[in-house]
Amino acid sequence: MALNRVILENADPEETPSWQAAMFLKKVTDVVPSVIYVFNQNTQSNEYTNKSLSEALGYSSQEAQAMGANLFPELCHPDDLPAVAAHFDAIHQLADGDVVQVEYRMRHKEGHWVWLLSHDTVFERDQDGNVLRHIGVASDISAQKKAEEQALAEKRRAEVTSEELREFSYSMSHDMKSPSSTLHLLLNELLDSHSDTFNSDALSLIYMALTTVTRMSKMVDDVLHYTRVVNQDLVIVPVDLQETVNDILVEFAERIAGTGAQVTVGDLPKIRADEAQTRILLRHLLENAIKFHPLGTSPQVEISASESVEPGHIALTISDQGIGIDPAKHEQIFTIFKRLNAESEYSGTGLGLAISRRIAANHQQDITLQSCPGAGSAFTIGFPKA
Amino acid sequence: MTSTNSYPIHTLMLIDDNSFDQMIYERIAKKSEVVENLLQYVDATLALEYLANPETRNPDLILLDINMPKMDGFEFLEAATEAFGVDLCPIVVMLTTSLNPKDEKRAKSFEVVRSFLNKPLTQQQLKDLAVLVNSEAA
Repeated sequence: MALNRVILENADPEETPSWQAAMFLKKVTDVVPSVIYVFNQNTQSNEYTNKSLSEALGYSSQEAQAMGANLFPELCHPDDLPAVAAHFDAIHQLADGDVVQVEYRMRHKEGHWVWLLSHDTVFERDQDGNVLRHIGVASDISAQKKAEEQALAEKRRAEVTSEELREFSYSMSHDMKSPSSTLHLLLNELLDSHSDTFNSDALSLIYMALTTVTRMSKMVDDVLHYTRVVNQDLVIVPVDLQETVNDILVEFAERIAGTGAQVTVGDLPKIRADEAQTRILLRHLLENAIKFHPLGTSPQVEISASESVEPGHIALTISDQGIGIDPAKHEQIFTIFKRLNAESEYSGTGLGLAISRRIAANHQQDITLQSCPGAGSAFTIGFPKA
Repeated sequence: MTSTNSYPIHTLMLIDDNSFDQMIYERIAKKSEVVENLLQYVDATLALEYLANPETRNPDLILLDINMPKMDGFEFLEAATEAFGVDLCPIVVMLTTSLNPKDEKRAKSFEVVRSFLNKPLTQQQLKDLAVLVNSEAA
């Protein structure tokens, strides 16, 4: 405590007993893992380095001093010399107390490169006020650099892979759309022109083919949706949820009438989101809410918004009184192509919730689910208020 | 094929969630004239119940789809081999649209799985399987 006050708080260095100051400095320079140096601009060489230089670069202090003015030109990576030269120039322009920093590579005595980060500040000026000596601390950041480079390489690789996959699935689903719609046309034409010549067995086969190709078109559409929402740049605008939901309910009018669904829409605010993606998300969640009801009952669907625990956000909930989902399977249902029900009971592509979660993630949000078998399901997602 | 008990496959169990595929299998089985009894399940859990029933005769051949809701082909294999061991059925053949080599490898890691066929099933494939079933029985 006494020493601390003497060294760090004493306004006048003249009053500090020199032995205490010397001991303190010795301890500090011994204990720091970084290289500390005092560089003389006239001789272009280090006049002082602590013991750590030998550890960082494999040279002894004596060897480093012997290299003198050749230290930097000899050991610095040629690619980094311009940055180091600019750094030296910057030191000349420094005001007292300001610090400049630079990253560069130095050759280790064993031949490999060591990444260093130097912080430098003015140590002493000549009579004309020019910087005579500067003091600096150089830290070995090789491990950090290596991790950064690895992370960057991984990121690039992931970007390329994901872009390739996106293009692949996009063109694939696009190319599949055309034959599936042609097949649809052909089968319809077959029924239209020749149904009188088919017996009931032939007709039922054609109807099955039509059902199958319709399922395929839906699948292709969903894959297209998915590829569109993966990694797509968002255009964040104010989106009127009330309007969006009403539009979708119009689209679903036939389905709602067919199932006798009761859809209750609460007061929905404006949010900040990507309009197209919000529409896709709501379409999938509403489609599910209407679809998954027990045979012989009418779907009861509620769309509501409430204040979120997150400030400035609302929580949008789409709930139903449908068949519900086993809590053990809550995670699975968001997996791409995962389906829990037989096609003959509830048809689907296994993509709707994967797309929905992706859209939520694109908005830095998560979809939460409350559901139990027989007790209906409630999907909730947060959005920033507009 | 002169007598009724000369069908090379006495009982064939088909586990596939696609009911249209099931209907076509039934037609193929009939036309191939190699199958006497056909057990068809769109739900693998019900197939498991059938196998667990001591009153029923085990099939000579099971054709098993992989990608099914509720219980998929692998879950079925795990549950069935745990319950009945390798006595489950002499021959299980995977019948799937999966082109994933991982799926094939995983399927073949089950001792009871003898082959991995890609859909659609043909009459010829069924006849080849009949030969396999008979060579096994001999």
